[in-house]
Amino acid sequence: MALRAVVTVCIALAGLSTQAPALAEKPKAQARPNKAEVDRLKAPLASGSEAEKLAALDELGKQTGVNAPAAAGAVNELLARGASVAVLTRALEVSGKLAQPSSTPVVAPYARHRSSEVRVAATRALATTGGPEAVKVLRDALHGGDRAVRGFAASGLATLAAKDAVPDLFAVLAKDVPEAAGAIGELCTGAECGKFAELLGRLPFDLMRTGLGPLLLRPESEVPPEFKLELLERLRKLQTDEARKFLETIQAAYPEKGHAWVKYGLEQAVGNKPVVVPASAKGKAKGQ
Amino acid sequence: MTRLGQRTFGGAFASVLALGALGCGASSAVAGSVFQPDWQSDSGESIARVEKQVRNAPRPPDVAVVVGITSEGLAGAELPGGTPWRYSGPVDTLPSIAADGVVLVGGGGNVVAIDGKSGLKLWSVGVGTLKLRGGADDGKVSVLSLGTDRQSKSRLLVVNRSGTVVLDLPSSTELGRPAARAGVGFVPWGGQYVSALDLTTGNELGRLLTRDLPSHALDRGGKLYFGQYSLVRLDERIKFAESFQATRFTFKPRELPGNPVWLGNGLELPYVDRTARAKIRLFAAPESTPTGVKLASGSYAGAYFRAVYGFAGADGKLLWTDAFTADVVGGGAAESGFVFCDEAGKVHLFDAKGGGAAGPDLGQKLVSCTVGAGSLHVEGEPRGALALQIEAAFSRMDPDMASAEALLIKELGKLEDPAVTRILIAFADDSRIPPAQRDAARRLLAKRTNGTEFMLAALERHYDFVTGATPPPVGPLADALGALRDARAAAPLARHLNDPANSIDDIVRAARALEVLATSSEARDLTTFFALYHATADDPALVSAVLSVGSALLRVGGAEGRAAVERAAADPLTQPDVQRGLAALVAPRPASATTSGQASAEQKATADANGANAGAKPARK
Repeated sequence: MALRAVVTVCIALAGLSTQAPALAEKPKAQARPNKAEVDRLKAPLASGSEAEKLAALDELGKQTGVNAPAAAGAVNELLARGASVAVLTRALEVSGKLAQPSSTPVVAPYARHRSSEVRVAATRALATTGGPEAVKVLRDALHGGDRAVRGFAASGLATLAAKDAVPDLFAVLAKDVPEAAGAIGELCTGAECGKFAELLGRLPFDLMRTGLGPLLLRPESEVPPEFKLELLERLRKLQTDEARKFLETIQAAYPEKGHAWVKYGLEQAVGNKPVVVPASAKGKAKGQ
Repeated sequence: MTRLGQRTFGGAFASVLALGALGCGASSAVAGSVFQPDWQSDSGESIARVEKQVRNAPRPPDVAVVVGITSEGLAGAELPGGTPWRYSGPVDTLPSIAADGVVLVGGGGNVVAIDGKSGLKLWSVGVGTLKLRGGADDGKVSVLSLGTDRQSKSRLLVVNRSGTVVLDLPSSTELGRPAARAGVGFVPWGGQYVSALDLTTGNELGRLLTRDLPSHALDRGGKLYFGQYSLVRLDERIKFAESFQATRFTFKPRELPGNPVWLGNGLELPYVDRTARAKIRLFAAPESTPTGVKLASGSYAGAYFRAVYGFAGADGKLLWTDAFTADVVGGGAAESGFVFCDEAGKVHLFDAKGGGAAGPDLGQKLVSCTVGAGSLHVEGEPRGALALQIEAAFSRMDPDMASAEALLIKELGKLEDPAVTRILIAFADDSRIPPAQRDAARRLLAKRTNGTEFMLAALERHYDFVTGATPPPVGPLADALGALRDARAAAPLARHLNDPANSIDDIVRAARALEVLATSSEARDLTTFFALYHATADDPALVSAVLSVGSALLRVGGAEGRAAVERAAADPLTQPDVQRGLAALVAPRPASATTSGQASAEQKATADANGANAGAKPARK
């Protein structure tokens, strides 16, 4: 998984547009819970001025590990009561940082706030608070009128590994939601991946490669090598500069100890030589 | 073809005298010179004599005809279902169709007579630079009123069936559109006279003086009428026309899109109009009854590009409507019903109630069209309820027909049919309909008192980026359902509160309706809305919505709802206008307010006065 994250960064640096969701910070090891600190911060959240609330939220955002649930609880109380746009936005960011599923129910309504700023903050937060309700809200958000929210929702669904959402992602893919391609590349299984690959040549390559990258770099246990070989051959046949550069990027990112067939396929494709699916693998790829 | 001779009025007068000496006219001339205004009124005596002379005179059978102007000439047919015919030749002015179906068309220095039934050419006469202003036919001879761009230059010709000009009367004053009956021609002129001429001798048998600006002589259903804005009928009362005691017919249509005129000025040359004005028309006709004159079909019709509509003569109420696939370029009122032709060459028939009937297809593109249908009784098939006719018409209209759409939407709102509610909902968010008309539909929808099932069904719809579904007109639906106290609307309205795809206006109205409709089942949605916006209301309208929801929460939210409102009233981050309004809402009730409803209403009024509805912009965003 860490490798995939690195690869994603590589792809982004190579000019491939990805909208990575705000990932929760990895909790640092913390031995003892600090309940008193959280309790102290609840007071300004309840009745403080805007500045006091913002300061308290910043402090709560620093709570990690065993303190995170309590900190999230305090933020949840504020979100349930409501606050100014500035405070809400900060509170939603903190909820995202704390990444507690208990926050999802209070964060969710803000994904439909009339303020775009608040909507975006809530949508991003849901990608880390998680849970079935978060998935449902993010799926609904794909149908909403806010382009930014749709993008973050697509990315968030990938983060939450919401495989059931792939049909929704396909529905928005061709409707100017490029983040859906990346999410599909991360989430698709079996025929869904095949359906995505079929769009190669039909949708702009800029859009497709955000999904093809993750798809090719996913473990072979998720995406069979036969399918990857067929996809590599399709990419090679495009005979475009952008496809060739993309193949080079993938080859560079592909693990040294990766599947031999895929490595062979990448070599062939980058060298503009036909990628032949081993005879023993033929037929398996069709099932993709 | 007979060339028009250069006979002077003196020559014509000599002919008249000669023919008079041969005993062709039983009556004597009423004036020394035809079409001369220096005439001493005879108090209607002479026109009364003429009326008596022609009252029971035989006349040829009426024939209904449609004639369209094409790029090559004419295309016509007998109505209602005759075989189309074509005529090739120049056309300068709109053809005239006589009651007996003779079509008179001028162009290229000639006037040609055509049998409207068959399309056969009857004769042609040269008229030089003169243009045909109007024509008539009594079954034996045709009367042509000719003119030039200078109105004062006019000429009257009488042509027999062999194409011989039997009478040629120049005039220094403008002549209008004539009629003919039993050898007598009726020629309006001078803005107040109609001269009755012996079509054989040119002798002026009688003269009508009327103040109804006669520029047209109409021959319909065997009766003759003279006028322009109003008509007087040639009957036994014509003698009293000078004192306004003749049988009069006045027609005042309602204001219609594009302000079409009825008959227009008959003294003007009816050049073929290729502008948009030619597609904005008004059609009506008089019909004689034993007691007077009424509007034929009891109604009149209008056309506005593709749209056509019929209105009751009595009160201007819309009776029927339709829209074609091509613009209307002409038409006319039948004895019963109406005829329209579109620029694709199709002829459309409607009966008096708006029922449709198939007309001939002239098979050619038309520039303009003329209809003579005084004898046509259209029998059509019903086309469904008026609301459905309006809906169907809208589906064929373009955005540039906004004026007609505005009229039809206004009329739609007057109908009690529950289907109107469904149609207004559809119109309110139909992007093909101009914004002003969509707004009109929303306004009317807000006042509907029936069709609630359509309203509730519409409220189930929400914006969807994927499917392209648009939000329903939540505000107007909330107004209507709130006024009807329909509690079934509470849940869907509460869901719409928290849908950012709805306009702020819709949200305000939904919140206002929920003040009276909400139940405890909606408390969750109300609480969510209240939490989301009590501190973020950045718009006076949103402030008002928050206060409405606060009021609803106090009523149905129980202890939790009250606590939320009280907490927000004390929260320093609550938007100041909201805070003031909430303070008023949660203030102790006046002792006189005995019922919760009273208290709620009074407190909300105070809250609105203290809050957003005080008109102040929120102090903080």
